Amino acid sequence: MNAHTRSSADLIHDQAVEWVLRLEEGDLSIPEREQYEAWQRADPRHAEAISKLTQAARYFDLPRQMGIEADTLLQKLEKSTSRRKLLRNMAVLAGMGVGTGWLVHREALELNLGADFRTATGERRSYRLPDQSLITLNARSVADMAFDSRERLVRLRAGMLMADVAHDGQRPFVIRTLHGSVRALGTEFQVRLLPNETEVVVVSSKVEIRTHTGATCQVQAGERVRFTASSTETPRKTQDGEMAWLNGYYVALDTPLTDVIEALRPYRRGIIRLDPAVASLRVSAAFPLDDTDQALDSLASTMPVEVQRYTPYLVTVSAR
Amino acid sequence: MTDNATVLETRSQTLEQIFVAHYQWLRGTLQRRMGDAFGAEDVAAETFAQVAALPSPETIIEPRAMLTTISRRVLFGIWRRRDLEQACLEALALRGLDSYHSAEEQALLVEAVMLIDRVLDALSRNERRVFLLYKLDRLGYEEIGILTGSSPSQVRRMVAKGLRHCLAAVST
Repeated sequence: MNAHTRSSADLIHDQAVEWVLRLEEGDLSIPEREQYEAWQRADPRHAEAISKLTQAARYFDLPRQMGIEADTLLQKLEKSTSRRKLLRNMAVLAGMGVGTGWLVHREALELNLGADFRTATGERRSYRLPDQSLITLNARSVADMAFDSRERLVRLRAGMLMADVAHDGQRPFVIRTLHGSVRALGTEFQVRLLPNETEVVVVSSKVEIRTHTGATCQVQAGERVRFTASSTETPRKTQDGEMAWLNGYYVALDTPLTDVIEALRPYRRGIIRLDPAVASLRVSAAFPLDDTDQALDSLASTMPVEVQRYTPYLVTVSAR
Repeated sequence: MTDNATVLETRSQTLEQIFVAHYQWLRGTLQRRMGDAFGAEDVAAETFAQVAALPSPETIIEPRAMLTTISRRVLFGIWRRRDLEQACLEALALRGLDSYHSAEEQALLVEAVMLIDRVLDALSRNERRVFLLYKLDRLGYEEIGILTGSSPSQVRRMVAKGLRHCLAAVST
């Protein structure tokens, strides 16, 4: 039965591809066009296959529409493809043996070369730097330090940190992320690396942001800004509680549920899955970061959500 | 208890057993390979999520062999995604100094590039070239044939193969 449904799906795919090619070739007669429309109506899976092909075509057009040279992108894809092929072949030859282990390890070294500061799941830690500045890493964060005579550089590679910067008029204190740098002379501020952008919150004095492409922005005390590699948004007023994680709490004030879960994740071993249907629900409450089970329970008792624990490592938060 | 409930019960017990017996082992193995504690944990956790999504986990005979295979796939996926995201960021940055893009735009681009990547990965070198000339450069079968040394009907067959992989890639 399985084999049969599979081959009929294949057949539909072949037919859909054939029709799309004929449409693109462009000279369908009226009877052929009617035939095509009849085929589309004959089975919902037919129309679905056509719409999937249309969707794929949109994906192929997207880089150009966004003003990106397809060649540039393809070159980059090609480069990483060849490396992946190499890794995959090694894996096949060696199983998970010595060969792969070495390659994998080297990869990790490249990614986190000389990571000086690192916190595990559920761990917060403060480090005193040589200039007496203090940085505190939130859970699951990685950073390293490169001080020289011109600047005091800290690279944030993952997660989030708070910097209490000692004043030094000669050497600016710089936190660099994938998206750009945040520069300060002496101040207290927090930098968080998100999947597609970096967030800065300033507690006292001010900092300057410079994105990789050179866009700049000043952020004053009590303001929060997110920036990407090429642009910064307008600073916004911070909410109370942005720094509560330093004391082991996460404070939500009309915050989307997805942000709340995101804040709990580094504190929990295993996975929290969030149903997109409830991701944008607004939450106002304080949650203990060091007891994520309690945090999840209080979500379940105050919000229209259900928390299911399949095992301690897999929790689903979904609509009730 | 209905049969259905019994099945669910067995299923969750099986998963629990696998977690308890092998999670630490997998995380430790990955950590030694990757030299990165929480990266290893993410891979281990995603691996278990995929195991939990399997139709009948109670039929797994060699859990560690299966976990190794799945975790390797997860790891490649994570690296690939990281590479692609980086490629997208660089490509966006190259658009010019004054071009702004939103997080949504960037996410959409990454999604598109991941699909393109999956399609191209399923094609041979020559098929890939043909498909890109068709899709991105919008050339006809004849022109592509001249550029790649194939007949127009061979070109059409290669384009069709690319489209079938598009369908498969969108479907997953």
